[in-house]
Amino acid sequence: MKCPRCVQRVHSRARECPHCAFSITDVDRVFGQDDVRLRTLTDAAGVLRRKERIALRGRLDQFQQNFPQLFFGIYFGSFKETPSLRQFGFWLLNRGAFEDVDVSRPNEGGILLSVDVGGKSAGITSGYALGPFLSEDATFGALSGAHPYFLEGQWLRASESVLSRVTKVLAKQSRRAEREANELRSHRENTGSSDGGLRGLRERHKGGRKKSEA
Amino acid sequence: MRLGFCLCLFALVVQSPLGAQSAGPSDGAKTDSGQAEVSREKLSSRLPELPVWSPSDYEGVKKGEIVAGENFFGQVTVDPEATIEPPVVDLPEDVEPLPEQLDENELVLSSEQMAAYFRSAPEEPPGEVALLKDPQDLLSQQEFRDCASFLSYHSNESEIDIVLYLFDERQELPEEYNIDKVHQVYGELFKDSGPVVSVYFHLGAPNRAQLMMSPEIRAVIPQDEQERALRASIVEAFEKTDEALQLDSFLGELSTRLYWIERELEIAGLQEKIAGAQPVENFDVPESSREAGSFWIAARAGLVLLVGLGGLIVGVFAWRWSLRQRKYYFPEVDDERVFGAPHAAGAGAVVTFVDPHLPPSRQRHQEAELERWSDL
Repeated sequence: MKCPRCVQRVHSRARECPHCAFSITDVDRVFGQDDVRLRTLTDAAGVLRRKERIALRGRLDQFQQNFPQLFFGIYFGSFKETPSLRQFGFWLLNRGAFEDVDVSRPNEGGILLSVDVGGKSAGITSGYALGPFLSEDATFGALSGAHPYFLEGQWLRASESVLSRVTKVLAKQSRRAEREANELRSHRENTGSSDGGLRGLRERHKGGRKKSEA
Repeated sequence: MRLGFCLCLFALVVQSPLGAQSAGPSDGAKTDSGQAEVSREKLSSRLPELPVWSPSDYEGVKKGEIVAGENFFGQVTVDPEATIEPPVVDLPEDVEPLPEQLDENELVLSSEQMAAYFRSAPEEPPGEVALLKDPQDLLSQQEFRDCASFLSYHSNESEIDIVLYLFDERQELPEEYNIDKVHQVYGELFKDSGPVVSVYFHLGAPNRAQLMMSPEIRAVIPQDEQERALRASIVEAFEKTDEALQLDSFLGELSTRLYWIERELEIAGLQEKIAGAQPVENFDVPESSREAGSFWIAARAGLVLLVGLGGLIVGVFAWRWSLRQRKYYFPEVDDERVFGAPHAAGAGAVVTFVDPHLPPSRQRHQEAELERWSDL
C-alpha cells in the first residue's frame, strides 16, 4: 500500500504515513469531512454528451452485474489547483455516498476513476476489499491502454477502455482466488486438519525435515 | 672438429653458383654477355625489322610535317589478302556413343507387349488389381518397390485407387489401347475394385502422362477438375530432374488431388453408390444426371455452410451472453485500516496526458505531493 501524498510504501494498519505523516484528516481539511452524495457517473466537468452518459451508465451497470460485491465510479472534474488527483480520489472514495449503489456494496469494494479534464490527468483509487487483487501496476496498465483516447479527449472511449481492462484483471484475479480457495479446501479435506497446509509448509522446510527425521 | 667443419663449409660455398659469382667476376661477365647476345638474336629473328630514321625524317619532324606515333591512331591498314588459319582444337573423344535413332515403328508397342499390362498376375487375389504395371522393367527393383509401396499406401488411405501403367519416354501406344477405352475394354479388371484412376506415365516425359477416372467418379467430378488434377501433377513432376523422382512427385500430387475429389464425392452423398458395385457398362453418363448431381452438391454444400455459419453466430452470441452473465466473487480480506480512512486507501496509478509524443510510462505521476499541502 502506498501513501497518496508521498507515494511511499506504508505498512498495513498505519494510522498515518511514517514518511510524511499523512492521514485522512489532511484531505478532510481541504475537501471537507462530511459525506458527499454523488452517482457512480459524475460529470462535474460537463464533458460527456447525453448519449455518452447513457452508454457509460450501461457499462457501469454491467460491471456491477458481473461483480456483485463491487462497483465502479467515474468522476470527471476540472481542478484548477489540484495536482494531487491521487489524494482527491482517496478522499472521494472514503467520503462519497454513491446514490445508485446498493447498500450491500460498501465503498470498500469501490473502484474510482478520477479524471481531471483541465489538469489532463487521470487516476484510479480502490477500496480495501480490492487491495490484494488490484495492484498499482494493473491500474497503470488500464490507464495506459486508454491513454490515446485521453489525449484526444474521447472521454467515453477512454472510460470504456479503462473499465474493460480493469474488468479483465478482476475476472482473472477472481478465478485465481477461487481456484486457490478450492485447492486449500481440498487439501484440508484430504489431510483432515485445519492447519495441515501450514504444517506441510513447515515440514517441507529443510530444518523442519531434519528435525522430524531426527 | 670445428676447424674441419669450417673448411668443408668453405669448400661448398666456393663450388656453389653464388660462390662462383663472387669468386671470378671476369668469367661470369663473359658468360652473361654471351647469353644476352644469343637471346637478342633469337628475339630479332622473330620480330619484324624496326624502321630506320633518315635525316630527311628528322628534318620533317622538326618542321612538324611528321608527327611521331601518328600511325598508331590512324586507320589501320589491313592486308586484304591476309588469311587466318583456324586453330586446331583437340576435342576429346565421345565417351558414350550417341543413342541410335530408333525407327518410328519400333517405338510403337506391339499388342503382345500391351497385353502384358492388362494381364492379371496369377498371385493377385480375385477382385484386386495390381496397382503398378511395369512389364518392361523400366524401373529398378528398388524403385519398383518404393512406387508400389506408395500406391498401396494410397490405396489403404483412399477410396480411389491409382493404377499406374509405366512406359518409356518415347514409346507410343497402339490405337486400341487408348486410355479412354481401357475401362471399356478391360472392365472386368476393375469390376470389383471400386473407383479407380488409371494413369499412363511415360518415364522421363511427365507431360505425356494421361489419366482416366472410372465412370462413377466422372459422374460427379467435372472434366475440367480432372484435367486440373493431371496438370498439377505434371507440374509437380517437372520440379524434379530424375525420372524416378518425377514419378514420385507426380504420384504424391495426384494422391493429394484425389483426396479432395474423394471429399467431393462424400459431399455429393454418392459414397454408398460408389461402394456398391456399379456396372462398368454404364460408361456414358447422361448429361442431365451430371447437372442434377452438381446441383445437389451445391445445394448440400450451401446447406452445410449455412448451418455452420448459423451455429458459429449462435455460439458467439451464447459465449458473449454467458460472459455477460458470469459473476465473479472475491474472498473477504482482513479489515486493515490505514491513515484512518474508513473505506479505501488503495492509491492506484496516476497518469497525465499532456504530451502526445511521450509514452504513458514517461507521463506516470509518481512524485511526492508535499508542496501544496505544506501551504495549508
